[in-house]
Amino acid sequence: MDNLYTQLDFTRLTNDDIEKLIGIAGLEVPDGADKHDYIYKNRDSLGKIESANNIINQKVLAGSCAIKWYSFEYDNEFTMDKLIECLESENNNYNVRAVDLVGTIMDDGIVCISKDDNIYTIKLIIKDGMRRVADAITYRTEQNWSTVIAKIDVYNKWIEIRASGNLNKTAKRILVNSLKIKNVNEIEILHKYDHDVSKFKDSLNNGFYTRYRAMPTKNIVLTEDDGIALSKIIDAIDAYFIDKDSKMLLEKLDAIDYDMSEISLIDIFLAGIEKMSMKIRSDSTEDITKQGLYSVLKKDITEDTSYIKFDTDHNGVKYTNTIQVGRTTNSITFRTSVTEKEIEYIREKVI
Amino acid sequence: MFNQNGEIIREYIKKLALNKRLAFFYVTDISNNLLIPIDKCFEELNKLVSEEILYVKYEIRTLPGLDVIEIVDNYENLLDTTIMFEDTEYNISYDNIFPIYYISDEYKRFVADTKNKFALSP
Repeated sequence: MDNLYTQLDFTRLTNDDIEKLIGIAGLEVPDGADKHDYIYKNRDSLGKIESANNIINQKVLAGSCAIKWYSFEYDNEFTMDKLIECLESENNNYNVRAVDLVGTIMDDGIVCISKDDNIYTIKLIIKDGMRRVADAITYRTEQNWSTVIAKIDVYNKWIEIRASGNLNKTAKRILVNSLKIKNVNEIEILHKYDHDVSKFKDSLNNGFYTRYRAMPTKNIVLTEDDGIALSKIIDAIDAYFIDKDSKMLLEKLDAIDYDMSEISLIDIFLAGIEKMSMKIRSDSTEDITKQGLYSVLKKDITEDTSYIKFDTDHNGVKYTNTIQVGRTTNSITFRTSVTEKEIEYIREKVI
Repeated sequence: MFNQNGEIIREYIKKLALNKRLAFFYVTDISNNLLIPIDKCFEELNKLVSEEILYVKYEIRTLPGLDVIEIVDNYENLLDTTIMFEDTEYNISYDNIFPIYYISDEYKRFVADTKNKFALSP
């Protein structure tokens, strides 16, 4: 896969990765030098050291990224052989070094393709809006470019695109058009888990659900009288928890002249709410699914964005990673800088 | 073939129709409460829309913030456009569009009348 590496990819290395690489190789970075650039320029010598090579190969195309997965199907015209032929074609720069193509790419498209086992890794370059470059007085606009990494498993028929939003859509369009892929569909990230994010969390190693952003599943509009009655109901319940006087509770509830038919207490709590966020305390030993309010509200909200921690093991060392599960965007975003190993782990859970 | 999901959803909509405080609901309310996959719920809700039991509008929300930008009757002309909301530009795609379902007043009256009629029956 090192055919694909360019200077920009090395910016995905964290400062911690850089320090490890410097330590492993015993490099002495000159004062004032850009450490990422220094590592990039010394990549050939670093590649000869197994542990350093491993860090580079695991990180430079991964890091913090958003991912969506797609499935595709072969038919009479679109066969595996034809897809492989396309992937390994000269047109798509199969096995060409990306650095040798610098300056030759003028439009959106595939830069080059590399193969590892049965999985093809594809580097794409996409126009990503304009940016202003300013001096003290004037500015000029320049084209902004983004690189996107995609993977295709021709046997298991999936595509992975490491980009979010419009970049992801553009990358998908380029892949479909350039490789003539047919019958492409998004893979629903929770399809194996009854669309329940807490079940997905349970499938992960030490999965720990820390926070979510959600929206109520219906809009209830309360009147001023509803609000007054609600506060009286809560006062009565509060008093019961202190006094344990059930007779008094019933008397107080009976005294409230309020029609509760066809409306639940949860409806009342969620009335008028457009969206809500919940995050457990950072020192909590139980995750959000063990909190009372989560269980009470679960059926009446849509958890749109959920943050989940999980652990992976690298040669006996435990790493804790955080992912953001996006229901609407149907994507997983790695909020911590991860390796190919973590992405593969989540991919196997999702596909 | 007997459409079990359809019947279950219709019964649930009747229950919602009696809730005087309900303004509208999302497809996830049906899916979460009845444990029916969202795509099946959409199919059944579309049938109820064509029968004018429900009518549908669309919330345009920001992503990932989930703030409601506006509620519209039709979303087609908004697709692939950008909308300014609180000093930020949002590119609108299908991801930003959330169908919301209202129960027609006529159906609400019908359900309430039916309930009262049965309640008064000996």
